[in-house]
Amino acid sequence: MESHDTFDRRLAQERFLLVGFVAAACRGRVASSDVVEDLVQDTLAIAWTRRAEFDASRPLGPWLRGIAVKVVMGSVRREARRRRIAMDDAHEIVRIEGMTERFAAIEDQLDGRQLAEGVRGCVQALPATFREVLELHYGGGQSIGEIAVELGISDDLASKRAIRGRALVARCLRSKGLVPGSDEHDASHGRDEEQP
Amino acid sequence: MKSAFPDPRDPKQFDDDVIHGLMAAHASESVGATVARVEPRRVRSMQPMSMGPIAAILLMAVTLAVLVPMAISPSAASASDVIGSAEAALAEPGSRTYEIRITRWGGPVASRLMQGEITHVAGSEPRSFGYLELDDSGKRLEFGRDAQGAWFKGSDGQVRRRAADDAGPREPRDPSQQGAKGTARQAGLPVDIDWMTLNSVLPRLKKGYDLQVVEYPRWKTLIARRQWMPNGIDPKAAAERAESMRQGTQPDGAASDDRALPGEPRVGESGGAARRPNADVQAAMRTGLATGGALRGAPLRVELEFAPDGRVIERARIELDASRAPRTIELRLKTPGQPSADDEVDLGIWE
Repeated sequence: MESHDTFDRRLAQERFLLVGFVAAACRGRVASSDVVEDLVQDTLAIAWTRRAEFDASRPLGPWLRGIAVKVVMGSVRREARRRRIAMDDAHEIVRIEGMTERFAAIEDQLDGRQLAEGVRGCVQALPATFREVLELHYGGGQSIGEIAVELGISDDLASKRAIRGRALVARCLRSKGLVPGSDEHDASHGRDEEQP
Repeated sequence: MKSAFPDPRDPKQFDDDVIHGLMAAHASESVGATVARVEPRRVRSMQPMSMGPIAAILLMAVTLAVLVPMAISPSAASASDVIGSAEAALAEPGSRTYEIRITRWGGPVASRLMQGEITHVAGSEPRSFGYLELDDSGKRLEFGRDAQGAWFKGSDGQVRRRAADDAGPREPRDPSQQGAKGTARQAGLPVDIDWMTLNSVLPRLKKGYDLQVVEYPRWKTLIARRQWMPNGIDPKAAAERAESMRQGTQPDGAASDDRALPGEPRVGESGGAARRPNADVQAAMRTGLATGGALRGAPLRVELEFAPDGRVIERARIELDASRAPRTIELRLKTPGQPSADDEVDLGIWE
């Protein structure tokens, strides 16, 4: 078994991709980004207490995501029951497995630190109008409605800027070879921007 | 069965979800970076600003070699004594009023402040009360705490109590229990009341924090840094948290809804009445394992500056890093007739 320090250091290195994975897997399915943060902490707590079961010769990311899938699925099921809405387990499993594969592909290309730097650079390179909306939404925790009031623009325009801003970030990441895929999916599409 | 959630097979949505996750991770990282870069004003003012690099290095070397050993003597051992004497000072009969300044971290909103006041009254009927100005129009939100718990007055002028609203009166919370999530947070109140009242903050620093006392010739500062995963995690706390999850309880000891018995209301459907405390978990929290606190909601960093008597808190800086609304709360002791000091507000750094 790895020493505590080594394991802690590896956990810290994986945190960026883990937060990204959990946030992506939970999108539109849990109540708030606070819940996402709790799920990340739950995953890290389980990983830490079960570190003896981890084979130190293998990569940590897939093992962490395996734990996170169970934590996320449990939370999504509880949320569906709480909101009294139907949930197709098979669809959710397909979706989360797809997300797992996508993040595994990202991790194959580069580590979390490189990706974090890449995302930071792409966000900084955004035109100010798009960066402003994304910073308020993700950094400031504001809903699209709140951002619209803050900036004195319509909800629709704020939503479009958020969608377009993410598409530009995606294009930037692909152009740098930081995430797999082509630009054909960058076209914006409507969806509820109020969700975390 | 048709799922009410968005179709997982839409590739565009799927890709957008991935980018959404990366943006959320980026925001989470930025919060940490911002915290690391927000230094106390006093420390920043010591940095040489207009001298050449060699002169600056020489100056710093002289300062470190001659002045610092004489003036500063960090001491972790006395941290609990410092907290104890500060609690005793707060409990002495009388009242103290602090200015409140709340700064949000990040982007254009970093310049937005909420400000107000809070008065602590000690004695036979200890209580706290105060207000926050929510915007430039002078709209105020009043709040406080008394023997029955925390309260705030909503925009409709009605006083709401966190305990009495939906679950009936209950015992005041154990002050050693950490974490404010789901307790003092109220809809319409921008920050948990607990983090604006010093007699709530002080007991929480005793568990789950690394404490350091820095003593200068004329003042003393207590710095508390939250023990946080993955560095500095308390193994007992992690084990207890895992156990509480295994038992189907939340870290604060309340039952998880998927273990609720048939016919019982689920957590979240009818407020506090549905919560079934787990005695073992609650006992573990009281003895200091406090799994619900160190991992949720508790301030990231607290800095307390004391008056020359070493007991009365003159300034408190409480950093909250909730992902949706990271904030810094500054409390400054106000003496009667003292004007507010707008120019001393530290807005932090956004990158």
